[in-house]
Amino acid sequence: MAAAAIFSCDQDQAETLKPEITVAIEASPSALDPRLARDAYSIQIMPLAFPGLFKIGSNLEPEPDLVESFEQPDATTFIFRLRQGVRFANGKELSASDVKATLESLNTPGLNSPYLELAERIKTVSIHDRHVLRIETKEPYAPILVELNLGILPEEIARKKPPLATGELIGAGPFRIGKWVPGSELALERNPYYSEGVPFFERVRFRVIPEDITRLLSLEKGEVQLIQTPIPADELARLKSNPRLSVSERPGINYTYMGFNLRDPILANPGVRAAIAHAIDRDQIVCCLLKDTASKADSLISPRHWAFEPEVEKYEYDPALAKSLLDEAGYPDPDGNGPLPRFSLGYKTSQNQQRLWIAQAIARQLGKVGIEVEVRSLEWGTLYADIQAGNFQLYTLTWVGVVEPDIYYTAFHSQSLPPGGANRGAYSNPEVDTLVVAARMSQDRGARKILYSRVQKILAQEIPCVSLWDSVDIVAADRRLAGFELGPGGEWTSLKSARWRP
Amino acid sequence: MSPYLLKRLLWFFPVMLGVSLVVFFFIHMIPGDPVMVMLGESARPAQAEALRASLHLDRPLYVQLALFFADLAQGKMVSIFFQRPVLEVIGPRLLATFELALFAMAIAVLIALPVGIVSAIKKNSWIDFLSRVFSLLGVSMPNFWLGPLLIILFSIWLGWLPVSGRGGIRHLILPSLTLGMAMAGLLSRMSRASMLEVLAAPYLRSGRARGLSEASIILRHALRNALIPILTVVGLQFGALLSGAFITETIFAWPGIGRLLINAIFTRDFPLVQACVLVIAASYLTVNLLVDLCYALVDARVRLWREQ
Repeated sequence: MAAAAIFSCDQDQAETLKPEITVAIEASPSALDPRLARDAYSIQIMPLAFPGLFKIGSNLEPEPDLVESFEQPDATTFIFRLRQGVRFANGKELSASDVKATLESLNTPGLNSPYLELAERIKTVSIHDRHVLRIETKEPYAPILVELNLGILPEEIARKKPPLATGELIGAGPFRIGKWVPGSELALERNPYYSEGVPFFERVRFRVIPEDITRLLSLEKGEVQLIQTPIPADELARLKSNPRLSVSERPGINYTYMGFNLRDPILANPGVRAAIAHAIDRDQIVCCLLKDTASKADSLISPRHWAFEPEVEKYEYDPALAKSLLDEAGYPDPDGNGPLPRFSLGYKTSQNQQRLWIAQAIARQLGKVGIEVEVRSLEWGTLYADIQAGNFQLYTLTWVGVVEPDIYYTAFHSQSLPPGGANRGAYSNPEVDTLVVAARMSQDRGARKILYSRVQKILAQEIPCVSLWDSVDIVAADRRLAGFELGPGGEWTSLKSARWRP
Repeated sequence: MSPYLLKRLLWFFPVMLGVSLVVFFFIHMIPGDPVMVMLGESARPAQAEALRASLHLDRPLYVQLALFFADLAQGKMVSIFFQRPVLEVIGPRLLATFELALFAMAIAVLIALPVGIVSAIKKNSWIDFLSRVFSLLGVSMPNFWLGPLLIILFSIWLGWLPVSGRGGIRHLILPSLTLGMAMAGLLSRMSRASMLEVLAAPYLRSGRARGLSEASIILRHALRNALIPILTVVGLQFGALLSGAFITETIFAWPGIGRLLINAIFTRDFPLVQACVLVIAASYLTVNLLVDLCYALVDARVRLWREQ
């Protein structure tokens, strides 16, 4: 009897109409203060509670969020008019002083905000009136609108000494922070003062379920109602055939690449890099290992991005061409089809099982053209430290959420070596340096597109890294969830307008 | 308080000190800079230096060690990753782990003791054969295989139990069973071996000759004497559960301390790693002390204190 009672209540629970929705996520957000959001999980959740002046639209361009309109009188000055009637979760109305305080607080000692670069770019923030704000940058800086997606806090909270207690974190989003068990669960409660329509769900629970299969099974069982990538490719067909679930896919903005260390005498040779690019069968990897949950990439930015340049040099799988390129580069095969390699390379990757399989597949493919590859799988902290220190020959990593093309400055400008930049392979080309700086300072979209187009063409010719694939964002949800659409960077923002169909 | 107990409690301090030192030096030897893991590559050099200074990572190792002990003594350690006091982060996780370990242990003991006893009494019978197969299965089935299997059977096919998470007793059953099965296999083999040894002892023959019932011989005389090695294994296994349930915690999304510790190592969250290991070590020592005290309860020959 007792067992029957215990077991039956779960069925009842599944049938209950949903005042709350449970979303399963792979890992925990590291911090709830929007000024500290640096990991993908924080960035995807934060806009629900802490909207910024701008948000990233579906076309990967900044769109006004808390801003009603803005003008730019000159290259370094922006005047923002805030929406009126926006209220924080404590009932206080949003004003220009809150934005000013939030931006100025980024420099607070001990805060360690990843938005510090934004703060350094800003010369002054001045208040024109209660809802009008003027921001002046030290020099023209095109990425500023994208970076102003930073969540805004009330002035009195922003000026407090960090770290802030969970209960102090208040934003102007459709939800406010509820219970947080770090590493395990985060509950967002409906913001009673939200002015843009009452969210259907009283509560959104984010449950950390690290194991992919458990996340899927929890969705199938009805314990959670929504998940997004990573979803094991092998399980996708089964999910799609489940009549209780809906599965949607769309091109993502996460870019995976193989990085070269250009300080290495072998890899400094462009012929060798071209040969490696031709020796990797990306179609086979995308099809067989990723089960078409990715698409072959030719550029760091997604094909749906406004700055994407399709006319770049492409490297199709051609082992014969790869061999002749290696011969031309001065690395002939010492014994023809014999066991001796032309040369050996070390390839560092993470301990993620799929990453390891892919690394082994690439090693086999490179082996076919006479390049011996030793794959080393390292835990994340060690891998990251080695890559930052330049202690690698080949590695594979993913750029997550590529929205602002200024990423070319971070990844390829000769002054962007780590720490402080992400030019890990020490690529250096004065023309690229000039182009990315000019694109960063230009306020003209058309001019920026031309500059980034040239950057993409040069990088495709010089191959400081091999573009492997772009992610495909997959969302699996209970079919009764209506009106949810994943944000361009995987944000859960549209949960504010999603509904539950009985 | 008995001198034995006092002595054991006093031993806590040097052991904890030793653990603290070993963890401190090992975690600092692992490659990987917590500042860069935390801030990412876009960190400004000044920002990285400021964070390094605030975490005392720019100081010599012996100074860092002294500051670590000072923070520890004042309960002021703060997680680098979560930016919260470590006690606030560890508290709920430790509770969850204790809950899981207790249930897993209860399941293991409740299964293993009867199986081991009956197996020993019915030595070489089909019951013994079955129990040995059970023991072998228990120790052979890895958690990462058994856990998903139980989820598919009890949660997906039968729909009886939740797949994952921590809630009520229903959430505890599958992870406890997953952890408990391996221990039950080991414990039932231990119980069988221990019981067989005791059952062959001459004093039991004397008991039978004096007309004691078989139940009394088994339960009052044989089992009690057989319990000491079983208790030792239970204590050690319970200690191992406190830190070693990482796989089960991951499969069932159980918010325990094992998962927290592994993630803290990956993110180079030094204070959190140190605090987790200290808490686990303290729990281990406490459990072992309790087991030692239990010896005296089950075996009259064990005296924990001298009569004056």
